[in-house]
Amino acid sequence: MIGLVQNELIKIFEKKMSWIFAIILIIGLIGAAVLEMKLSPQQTEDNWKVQVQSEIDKLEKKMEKAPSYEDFGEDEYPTEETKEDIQIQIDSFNGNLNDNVNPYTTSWSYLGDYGIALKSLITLFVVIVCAGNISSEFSDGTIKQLLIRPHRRWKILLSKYIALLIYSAFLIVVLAAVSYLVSITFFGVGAFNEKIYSIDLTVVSGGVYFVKNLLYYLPGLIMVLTLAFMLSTLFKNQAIAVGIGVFVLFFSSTAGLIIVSLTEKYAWTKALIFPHLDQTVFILQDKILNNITMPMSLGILGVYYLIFMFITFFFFQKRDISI
Amino acid sequence: MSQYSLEVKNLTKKIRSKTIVNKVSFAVEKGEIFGLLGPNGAGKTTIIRMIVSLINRTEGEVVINGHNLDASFSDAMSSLGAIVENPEFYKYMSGYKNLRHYARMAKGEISENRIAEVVKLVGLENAIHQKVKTYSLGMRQRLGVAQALLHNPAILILDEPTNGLDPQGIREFRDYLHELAATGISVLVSSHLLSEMQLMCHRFAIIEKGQLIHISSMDETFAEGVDEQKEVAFEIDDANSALELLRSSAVAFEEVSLKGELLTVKLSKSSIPSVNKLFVERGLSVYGINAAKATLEDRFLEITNKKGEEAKR
Repeated sequence: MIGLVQNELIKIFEKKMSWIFAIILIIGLIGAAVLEMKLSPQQTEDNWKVQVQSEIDKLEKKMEKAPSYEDFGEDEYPTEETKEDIQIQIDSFNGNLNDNVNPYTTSWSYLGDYGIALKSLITLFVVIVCAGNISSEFSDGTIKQLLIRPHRRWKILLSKYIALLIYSAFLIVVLAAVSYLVSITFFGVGAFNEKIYSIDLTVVSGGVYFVKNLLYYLPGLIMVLTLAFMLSTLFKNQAIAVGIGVFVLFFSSTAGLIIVSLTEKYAWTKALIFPHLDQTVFILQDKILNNITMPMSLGILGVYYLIFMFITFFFFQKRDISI
Repeated sequence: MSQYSLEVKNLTKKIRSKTIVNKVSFAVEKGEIFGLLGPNGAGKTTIIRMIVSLINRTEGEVVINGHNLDASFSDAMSSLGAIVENPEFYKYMSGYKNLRHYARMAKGEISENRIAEVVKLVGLENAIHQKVKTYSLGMRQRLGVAQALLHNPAILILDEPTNGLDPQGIREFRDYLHELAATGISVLVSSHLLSEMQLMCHRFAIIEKGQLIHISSMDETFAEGVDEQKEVAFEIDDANSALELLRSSAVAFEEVSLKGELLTVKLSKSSIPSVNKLFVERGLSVYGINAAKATLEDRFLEITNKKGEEAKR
């Protein structure tokens, strides 16, 4: 079995595409850091609170001279910053001071924004690699040479599945490790408990938020991987398998939104897979779709997982290879 | 140990109500090259794929080198090497890495030496570390033989192996197979190229519409009786008078054609010398006598036609 998994890993990593995906992740992470450096105001003082306070002072001075919104006629657009605009900025800075959240980019705010955002790229790459894995053996005809060996089909299929899990783990490790290295290179080492704003603007601990996001991301990723793997055994054509896989992936977030609006009328729609694929929502809320808790949501995913795996192994075992 | 490398008993494949292969049984002896002949779509490929377990059997038993495919799957599969249609490889890897890949899937450990030995046998030493996508079809075919032989199988199973090979490649491939058979490896080969199979095989079976309709050795097929009527072409300066002469003689013959200096008649082998004597004594110049050799194609058509007529009756 170890030999079989080793074979499958070699085949994945001998393809240039598998490395290009990792390189795209790395470029994306560095690119985001560079843009953040260039485009957003940077922290120059050692203590950000001092800097924020001096910004507030500057804004208050500016406000004295600024015209009010009402100084402009009804049909006119304000041609310069009004008192009201400046007040919004001051409020925002005061909010930072009250919440104890640094408004300038820090290593954890970078990780919480970009490090987490790029995990959707991983999902896309995993779908492409998984959906192509078996279907490419069919389209290249290599499946014939693969299945005339002294191993049962389920064993060969399982070795492929394990190899794909390892490849996905590799991409996640690349994302976690490279994003952390980039963050401390560009923005300095930050305290693990440093406060940042989450995606819904609540104040969270940066380190915990980042690690939780990666962990809560795993169930959805494994589901998508398993689904793509199933497609890969069902379709002999690599392009069709990958195409459908990517389509399902993009459709799933839209479908998730549609289902949220449907659940009030039709309770059974809560059991559809789409709203459960993203478990990271449970970092910030206890329930989704009114009354579904995380264990319930994971349970629903578990049922789908068993169905997908059954279909995959059953069809592969039964299938006549006649290409 | 069984005397057969491969025994197939009552092999049947049904897809829904349609019977693709119907109760086919045969056995391949050690060191024998056995051919499966038949038109396209007769079920040859299905039979081969059932033997190598790419297609599920509806009924029947396959025993490879004494191991039953159902009872001891991995021993049975270890005893066979196969190329199913064109050998396909992972094109993005080198020939060597492809071989290592299959070596890792073998039941026992396959040493570096064994890989080197097989590579040398198929003459790919110089190209083995290049990526397979740079290989010609002939080279891929040889790599196919290499991967099939890696684990010292008792029987080599080849499905339409010469498809897409040029005449040079076909000839090389045939020589390989004869060398292999001489070392005691059996070969089961399917093809619809009859002339090719005639040169390649020791024994053959004819498959038609999913049924095995004939099985015999090449020697039996081409052993000819002394009294059997066959076509003989005489090249004579005056073919017309030769024909007249023949008509007036007591020799039993059948006229086939007369073209210029070439007189073709059907007669028994035993009467060729007396006919020749007759011509020479009359002062005709005989430049050549050519007895047509029956080809496998002729035999094949004879057999399939006879069966067809029987079926009509």
